[in-house]
Amino acid sequence: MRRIALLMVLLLSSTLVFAAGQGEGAGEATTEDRPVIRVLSGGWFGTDYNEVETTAILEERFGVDLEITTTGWGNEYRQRQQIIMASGDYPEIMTIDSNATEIEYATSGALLPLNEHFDDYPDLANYIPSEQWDVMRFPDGNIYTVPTTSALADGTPISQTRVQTYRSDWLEEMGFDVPETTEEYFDVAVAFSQDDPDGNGEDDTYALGGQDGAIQFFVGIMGAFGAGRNIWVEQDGEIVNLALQPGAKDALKFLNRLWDAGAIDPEFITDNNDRWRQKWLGGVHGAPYVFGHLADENNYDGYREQFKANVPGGEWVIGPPLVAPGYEDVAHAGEKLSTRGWMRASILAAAENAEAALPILDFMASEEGRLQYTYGEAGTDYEINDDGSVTVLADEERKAEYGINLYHVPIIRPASFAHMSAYYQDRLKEWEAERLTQAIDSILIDEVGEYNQILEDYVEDEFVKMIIGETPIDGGYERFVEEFNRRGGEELRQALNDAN
Amino acid sequence: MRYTRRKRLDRSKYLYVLLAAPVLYFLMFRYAPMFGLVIAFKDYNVFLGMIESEWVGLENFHDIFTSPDFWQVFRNTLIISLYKIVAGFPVPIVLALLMNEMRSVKFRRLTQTVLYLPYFISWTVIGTIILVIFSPTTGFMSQVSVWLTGGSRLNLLASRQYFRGILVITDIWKTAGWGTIIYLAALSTIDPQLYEAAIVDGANRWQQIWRITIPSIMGVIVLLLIMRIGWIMYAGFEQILVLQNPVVRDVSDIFDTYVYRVGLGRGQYSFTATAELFKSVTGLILIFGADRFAKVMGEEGLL
Repeated sequence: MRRIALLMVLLLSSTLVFAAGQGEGAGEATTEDRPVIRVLSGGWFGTDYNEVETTAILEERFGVDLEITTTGWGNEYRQRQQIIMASGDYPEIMTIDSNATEIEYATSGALLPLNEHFDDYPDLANYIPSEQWDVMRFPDGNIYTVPTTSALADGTPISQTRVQTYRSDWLEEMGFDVPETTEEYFDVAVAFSQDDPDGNGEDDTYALGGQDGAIQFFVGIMGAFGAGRNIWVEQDGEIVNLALQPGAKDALKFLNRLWDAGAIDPEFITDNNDRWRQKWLGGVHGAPYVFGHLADENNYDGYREQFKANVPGGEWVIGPPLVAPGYEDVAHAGEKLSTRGWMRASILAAAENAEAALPILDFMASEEGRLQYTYGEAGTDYEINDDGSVTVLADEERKAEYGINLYHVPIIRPASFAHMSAYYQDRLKEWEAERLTQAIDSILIDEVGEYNQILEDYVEDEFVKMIIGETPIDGGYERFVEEFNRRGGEELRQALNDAN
Repeated sequence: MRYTRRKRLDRSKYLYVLLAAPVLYFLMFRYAPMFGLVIAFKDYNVFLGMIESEWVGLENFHDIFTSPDFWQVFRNTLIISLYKIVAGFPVPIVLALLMNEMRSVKFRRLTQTVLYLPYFISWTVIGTIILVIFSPTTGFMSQVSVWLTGGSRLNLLASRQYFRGILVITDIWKTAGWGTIIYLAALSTIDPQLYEAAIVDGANRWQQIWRITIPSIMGVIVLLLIMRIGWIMYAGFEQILVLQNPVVRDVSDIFDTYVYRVGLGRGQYSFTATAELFKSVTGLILIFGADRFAKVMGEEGLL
């Protein structure tokens, strides 16, 4: 008896070990014979794309099982991506959000050359004009990714939706005009943070905040000096970095002045996305550089509604790109997002059902697919007006159930701003006209993959330290430039200029 | 001779069966993955796999030792670990001695439970609590800093001067209570006759602790210290990952966080595997060194 019991224990433990090793593969088989299409992408607050109606419609239409995994964006997404790639268990469709990653995967032969299938999938082939496909094309002649595109109602392409915004009720109450120069901004920023604009008797408001110490929240101000983050742009025929522009040091000094004056929320270093969002919704920040659509009257993602509930009299206005004294002749609105799309859809060649993913991309690239994913069902969920603008009819509940996300499609993101207010569309156009095109977009060389992420991390860390005075800017900025070049900045600059 | 060996084997066969599971575990999950270390000598490409990737010899080691990050990460790992050992190692000993002297069993049990509790809270949760306590706008600790310095409210978590201190203090808060368990067990093995004899000789409480209690648990203390030193290259991955921000990265980036960020974030697996290998070898040397030192000092040691 004892012997049997022992044998059982041994058997059980060995099966457990075996099962632990085998678990992943065994779980994938489906009861039906439909091929599984796994999708990996960044996601948005709380949407489970496996539950929404649009996913079921796609599954029905193409006879597949969709398994959509979403995470946050940025580093969190890239880490998840790398773990999945290292496991060798490739998803069929994957979003790529950086040139470095794309170069790494494409040159390793991991991605399916989409152009080879363009003849069979005309909607995919016609998704963007051939000039833009050329921007996507690798030196080997292949196209591996489908970019997100976005346009206004009149068809103007728009890349970046962050703009300088202000609480117009505070401006009015305190007797300020919308700032046009950095000096005017400074006065407004100090008043917004020190003079108790919300009138609650507490020192609890700031001009601007941020999350995780990210510099992108200061791009509106750095742009006024013709400077920015680790972004390569072409200027007078030469490729240069915005973080190394002559105005960069002055921009950091200006930000440091704002910091010393208490105009920047000191928690911008430690706040995460959720805490930042709660502060924006609670009316804590009065002059931030944020997505302009947050306060738009079409109530994007419910932002405006929640803000209005928290701050009944609160109103927002979008200001023009700021101009710093002495920097009148530079472009002031920072950089455009990549013309290769800030996110791109790719198909992994080694995935089990790679070819079965093509018709899905093709459908999502079609006019029909794009409208359905952006706005829902024609007639019941939206109407297209004569001027090209869109009126959204679906309420929040319907949007959530159906999966109408207006921009947030995890596969291809043909974002349209056609449903935004005319005011918002005009302001966005004004900003876009002054934005700089990223030079790296059309130069897909190995050095980008090798150095650019390292440089980006380095610039972010050092700029934050200078803004809050942990590193003195005089002397500190010069050391930063030296170290930036030592870490590959100079090598990358030369390689980019040689390849240009 | 052969007969007796077989007989002995036969007699203890169930013990060998019991041993099989842990041996299997170690082979599969501890030794087999070590073959992965070959990527430290390769230019590892996830799509080519471990076998197909190109051999590069010691190139990764050259890259590591010339990288500006590496020495900073090495220094941070050692400094943070040493701070934690110097400030944190004695705390559970003192706590255990204090608890040992408590007369009320009920109160002692309650104290123990309260002290153990933080150990079971994950760093993610503690991180959120710390963010609130240290908030420069509403947090209690930043108010304390105003009282102490008379200056303005500081974001202590974004201060390179205070960040390591915060790491050490929160680490002690979380682990010290749990660390008392082994000492309390060691204390319970001390022969009460020793104390009785000391009382007869007129020793007071303090003298009893100094002359009997501490010497009795010295072996355990040395053993734990050696083991702790073996862990010196692990300076607290989860804790730092949760609390770190861009401002304090250069004073708090340790091997584990660096490998996690660079290896996974940038996909530089070979580079970070090399860093891990270096870390492990250093840890091994340190544990042998500490063991030898303990033996020289007349203690039992570990090996």
